[in-house]
Amino acid sequence: MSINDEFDKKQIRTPLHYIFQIFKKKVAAIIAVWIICTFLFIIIFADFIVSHSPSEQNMNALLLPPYWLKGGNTAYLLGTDELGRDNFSRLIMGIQRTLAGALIITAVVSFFGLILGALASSLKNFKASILHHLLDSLLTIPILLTALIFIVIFGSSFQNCLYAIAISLLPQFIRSIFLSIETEMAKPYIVALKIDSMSDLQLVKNVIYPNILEPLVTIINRVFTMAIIEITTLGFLGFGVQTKGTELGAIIANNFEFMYLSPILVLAPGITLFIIIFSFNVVAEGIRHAIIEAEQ
Amino acid sequence: MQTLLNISNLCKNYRRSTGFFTSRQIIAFGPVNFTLERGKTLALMGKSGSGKSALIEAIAGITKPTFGEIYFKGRPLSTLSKKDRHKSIRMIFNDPIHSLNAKATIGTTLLLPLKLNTNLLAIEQKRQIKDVMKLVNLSSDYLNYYPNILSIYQLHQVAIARAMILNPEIIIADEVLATLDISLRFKIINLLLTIQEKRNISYIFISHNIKLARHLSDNIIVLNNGLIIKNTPV
Amino acid sequence: MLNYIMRRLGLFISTAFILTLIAYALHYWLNQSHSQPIINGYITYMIQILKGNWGISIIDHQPILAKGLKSLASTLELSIFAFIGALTLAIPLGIIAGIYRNGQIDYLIMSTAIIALALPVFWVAIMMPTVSNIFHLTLPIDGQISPIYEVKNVTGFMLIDSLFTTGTYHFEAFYSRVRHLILPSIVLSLFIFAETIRLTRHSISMVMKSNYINAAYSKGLSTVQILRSHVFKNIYPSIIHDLRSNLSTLFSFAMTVDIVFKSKGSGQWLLTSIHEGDYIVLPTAILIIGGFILLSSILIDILLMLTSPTKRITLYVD
Repeated sequence: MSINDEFDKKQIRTPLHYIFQIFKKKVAAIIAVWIICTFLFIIIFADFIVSHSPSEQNMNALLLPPYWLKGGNTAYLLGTDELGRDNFSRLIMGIQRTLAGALIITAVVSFFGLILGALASSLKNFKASILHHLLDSLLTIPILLTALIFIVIFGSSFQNCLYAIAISLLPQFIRSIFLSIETEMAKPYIVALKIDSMSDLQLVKNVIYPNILEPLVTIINRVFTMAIIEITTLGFLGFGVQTKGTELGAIIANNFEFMYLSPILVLAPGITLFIIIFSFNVVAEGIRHAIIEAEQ
Repeated sequence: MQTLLNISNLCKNYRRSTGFFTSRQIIAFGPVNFTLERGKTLALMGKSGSGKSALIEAIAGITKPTFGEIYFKGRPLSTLSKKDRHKSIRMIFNDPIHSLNAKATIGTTLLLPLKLNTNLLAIEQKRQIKDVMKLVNLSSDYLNYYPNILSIYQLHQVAIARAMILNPEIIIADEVLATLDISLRFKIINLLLTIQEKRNISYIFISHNIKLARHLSDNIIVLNNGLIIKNTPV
Repeated sequence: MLNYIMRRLGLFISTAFILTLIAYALHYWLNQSHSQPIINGYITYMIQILKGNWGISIIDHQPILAKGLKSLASTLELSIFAFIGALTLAIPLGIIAGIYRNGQIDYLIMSTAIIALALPVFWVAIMMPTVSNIFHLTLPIDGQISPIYEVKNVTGFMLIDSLFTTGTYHFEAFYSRVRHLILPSIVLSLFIFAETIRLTRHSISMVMKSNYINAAYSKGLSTVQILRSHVFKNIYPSIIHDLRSNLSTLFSFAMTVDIVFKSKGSGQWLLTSIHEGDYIVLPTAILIIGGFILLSSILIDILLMLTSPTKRITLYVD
């Protein structure tokens, strides 16, 4: 039989490599990646970036505007709040706390969700039915309510807020993962692998997860978005307040009253939050499109 | 002449719930009886919905029959281990594009059945893969490729290689020729027949083409509504 | 048909049962004194629930059930307003984006949707008064209705109840309620807006790729005609189905919005109760809110099945 050498060996690319090559061409997504890298840099080096301690009060400089406005001071880049604390330092520490929290939640939920989703898909008959009814009923309880319940149970600290949010996001993650696995399981190549004697768990781990990257990206991105929104919402509502550090939602709640005196107090943390969520969504969209284009 | 497969009173029913507590039995096929000898070819024919696919799925071990037994060399298949069963009866699916994992190289796809079903050493596995590639006339270079850059004919060759890798005694081919044009179809048929001569295996074909079935097989079975209405030697 | 409805009701009952178990577990944990064994306790709890004795609030000694339902009604009014606003805008935009997929317009619309999704709800809510000031709109920024109107609680829905006061206030109480709903529903509609655009665009581009659309084009139908006769029927079930699975997320946001706007909805009810230490509202909230979302999901399922033939497949399988 003819061996045609019309393609040279360099053309053999792993699917991941191929996806990455397509992704590299998406300008918006690459910009967003750099923005995210900046935020990651802030998380790691927050302590070195800040010029003031976020709790340091200066009674001579209350409610200063940002430095580019009249009355501003370059010592306080984004001005000060009602207690004379440096807004910039508080913002940086807030980003560290909020974003790190959201990333940890996303990692934890994804880790347990992927395992539990795989287990859920290998359950049969009665056990599967019980699990699905349990998930059905958990999914009818809004995330905010679940989070509030767990905060009441665990007690209100920032760490407990993270636990509460992680637990409340898990059922939705498991359900979405399970649905994606189910759809993939019905495909013919899975049947072919089954008669290669592959077990269900092996299938999910080695074959299905690499093949459902696109929905996985969407689901994980959704978890991240919900996590960061819930962290800041709970912080805004006054849960998880700690004396030492602070959190973006709590900063907004704290500065809310003085919004009319110094709009930057609320604008800066809000816009930062928006940029974080927006960048992650743009990257997720970029990856999704790259995967779809790579598959075509 | 050794009888490889003896199918006796095989039935498959589906239970479909029609109400809150009620359900209805739907018969996919059966009871069905036939035998297959070593080195021989059997063609299964019938219109859509006649139960051929359900029947071969039961033989290949994808689904369990409701009733009846399949004897492989005189032993009931249900007493064989999953590995032994998948080693001796392999299947070629009708659509090679969708029956190959797009995220795995051809080499990985061929290696997997060996890893899961045999205790061969890595060198032996490699040799066996090379052998089977030679058997289907495909260069070993293709082992590093992903399915998406292979032509449809090459994919068919891979699918046959995948079925042959475990040295099975029976191969079930589910309408493998339907998606090919006429010249490639004959190439595949010749390939399959050469392999049969070399390795002395038995085929079960599903086909819609009566001329082809006559040309290929020693025995034609026609199914209708899940029952055998004709079992004629060619 | 009847069978399908029966099966959905069966699902409703079993899911509701698990919901009561969760609520009871929480109730059990919150009540420090355990006089009865767990199973007997559950039965007593359920008897009380079914009788309507859901407990008395320790803050103002009002029955919790009535307060919970009233706040739910307020949140519902808000959500319905937001839904209507968001859908009227999002569906046409989603259709345009889906038809001109990967074009300039699509890019613009999808960017808008991602921006709307990325805006943190509570932050938009607190920025809303400033925004409305910039546009010189004098809209009320908090509360449920202007306190000068005395509206008797008849249905629990303030919008409907205010219509009963036309004798004293003409329609002024009703207008006041509508004006109070505008800003919060704009905030809440952002999420629905973004989700609906995404879902519509996705279904439209799926449908437009299919062969029956090509066949319709070859018959000489124009795009508008095809949209009207072939596309809508095929996309609305999947859009509604996906929105249905977002109900509980939406409710989360609605609670956040009504806390910020102090509009006496479920969120504010829960938050004030928790801050006052009245934790007994939590199991009640699970039953009321969870029960409501469950019931509406099941009703949507049944309605979809009645109106859309493609969903009727579930009648024959499973």
